[in-house]
Amino acid sequence: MDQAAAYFQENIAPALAFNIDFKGQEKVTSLCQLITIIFSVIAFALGFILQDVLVTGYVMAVGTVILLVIALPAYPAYNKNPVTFLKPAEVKLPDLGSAKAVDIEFSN
Amino acid sequence: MFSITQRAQDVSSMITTSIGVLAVLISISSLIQLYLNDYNNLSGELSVRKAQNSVKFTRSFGGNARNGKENVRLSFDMETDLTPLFNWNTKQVFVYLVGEYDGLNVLKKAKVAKDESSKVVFWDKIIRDKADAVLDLKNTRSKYTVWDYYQKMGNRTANLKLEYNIQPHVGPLVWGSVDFNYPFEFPEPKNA
Repeated sequence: MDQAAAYFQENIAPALAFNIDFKGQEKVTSLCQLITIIFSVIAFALGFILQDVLVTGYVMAVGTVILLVIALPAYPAYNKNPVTFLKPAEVKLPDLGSAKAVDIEFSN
Repeated sequence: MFSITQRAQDVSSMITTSIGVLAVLISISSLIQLYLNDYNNLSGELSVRKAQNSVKFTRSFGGNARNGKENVRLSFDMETDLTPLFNWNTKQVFVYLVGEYDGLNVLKKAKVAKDESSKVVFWDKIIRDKADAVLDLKNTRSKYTVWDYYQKMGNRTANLKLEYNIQPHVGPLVWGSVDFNYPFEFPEPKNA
């Protein structure tokens, strides 16, 4: 059971997370906010002009679907600027030969 | 916005916020529309064709075997236009024909006599559509038989008005009335 959980965490969960990079996150956030505001304004205006509050509801429903389509998948456009990590610095370790850990004595 | 669950949460939060703002705006705009339409100052005409007062001795008519209760029924003509009550936020309007008359002080022990008025409902209707908002009723019989807390109903004068309750999709309920200025005297019982 533990093995299965570990396998899931290592191999399956990252693939389901659909991560995007920092630039992509910024892009999605501003795009979604813009679309939300635009759809709210359209919904209110259209509902008021047609004098039917249901129209407002339908427009907002359409807006929600569009938002989900735009935001949820990890499109390649959101992963154009992947974070490049520094290479690990090389540290020279003393050559310990065949000595075992228990044999090493630390001294000041 | 890093993972798919975070993006789903952010989108739902944006939508919820915008729907809340929209609800407030819709409610305020519809209230403004009502005030601009002068919703509490509508005119109408009413005339009572026939009024009937009969003493009933059953519990379902407010009486019992010993003490009868005077029950009043009406038939009336009514003309009024309630279209100003309908705007984009109106779900339905509940209208009810009310007789308002000076009541006796029910609490006899109360030392201070209050001006109490009793209200009785003769007829009501739910209007769901603007197209049905023009009421032109001819010789309509009252839906409900009406009796008072006390036995007597005859010879008391009631002012008839059409009250309404506007029920919106979002926002507060609004009450108002069409005052017909029609004083109506309950008749004496015929089988007393």
